[in-house]
Amino acid sequence: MAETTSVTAEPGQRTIVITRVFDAPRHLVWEAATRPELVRRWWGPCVSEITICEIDLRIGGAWRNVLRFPDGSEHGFHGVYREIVKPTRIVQTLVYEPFPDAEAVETAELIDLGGGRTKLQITILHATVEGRDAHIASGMENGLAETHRRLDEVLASLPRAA
Amino acid sequence: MNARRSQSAKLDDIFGALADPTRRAIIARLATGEATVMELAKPFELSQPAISKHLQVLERAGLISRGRDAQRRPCRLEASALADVDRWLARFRQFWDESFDRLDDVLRELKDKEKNHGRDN
Repeated sequence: MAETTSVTAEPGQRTIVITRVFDAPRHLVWEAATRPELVRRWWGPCVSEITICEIDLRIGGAWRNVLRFPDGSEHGFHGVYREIVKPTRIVQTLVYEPFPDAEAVETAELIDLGGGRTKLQITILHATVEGRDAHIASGMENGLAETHRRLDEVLASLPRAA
Repeated sequence: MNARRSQSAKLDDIFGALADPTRRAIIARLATGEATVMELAKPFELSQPAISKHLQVLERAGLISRGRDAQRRPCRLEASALADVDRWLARFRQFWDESFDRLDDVLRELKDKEKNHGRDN
């Protein structure tokens, strides 16, 4: 059964809420979300490569992820842990490095649904509505690069005209 | 960087325009067809200047277009602007979807490891 991700971003609000149900017990979702050797295997869009993944999982500890895209650009994200309640809740700050003053707070809640299933709910709270909207819109250029790359692949695979 | 800022400004204009319930009601009305300023003002018991202010916000966000003589020519919904917002959210959701699909694979491995470890004991 394929699960779907739901994203909610109401107009004029400062939050983005991302939710997905996983067919795994909560303690394993916790592991996969907090051990850097596991996080680097899934964090970030398919087209990108995660080059740095550092996690110091303690109150006041820092985390940092860097994504590299096919056009060679690198995008860094970092923050500090504010709350760690194993296995239910992680609260951390989130900074997208080109905009170091726009700090958001990301809360991840792991909810045991029973039957070996877990709901992961991530709430990202930005300081301003504009910051929240920029976060949503920020994927578009990278998306464009990805679209061009995929188009190139398709074109390269077509038989040449006689 | 410039493209990113103008895109987020555009999204902000649209979200800002939609954040007001009167403006959302105007959009809903225009979705059923064009209307003049007078026709739009009627259900709200707002003065025409008050309605015009709302229409200015909607027009700046690209959500509606107006005839040159705003009093007499009708307002029209520009649905493609709303489609932009859908596209942004869809792209954003896709990024997370792709990550979570890979998280599914990681979790499957962890479950297998746990099962095998239990069997060996």
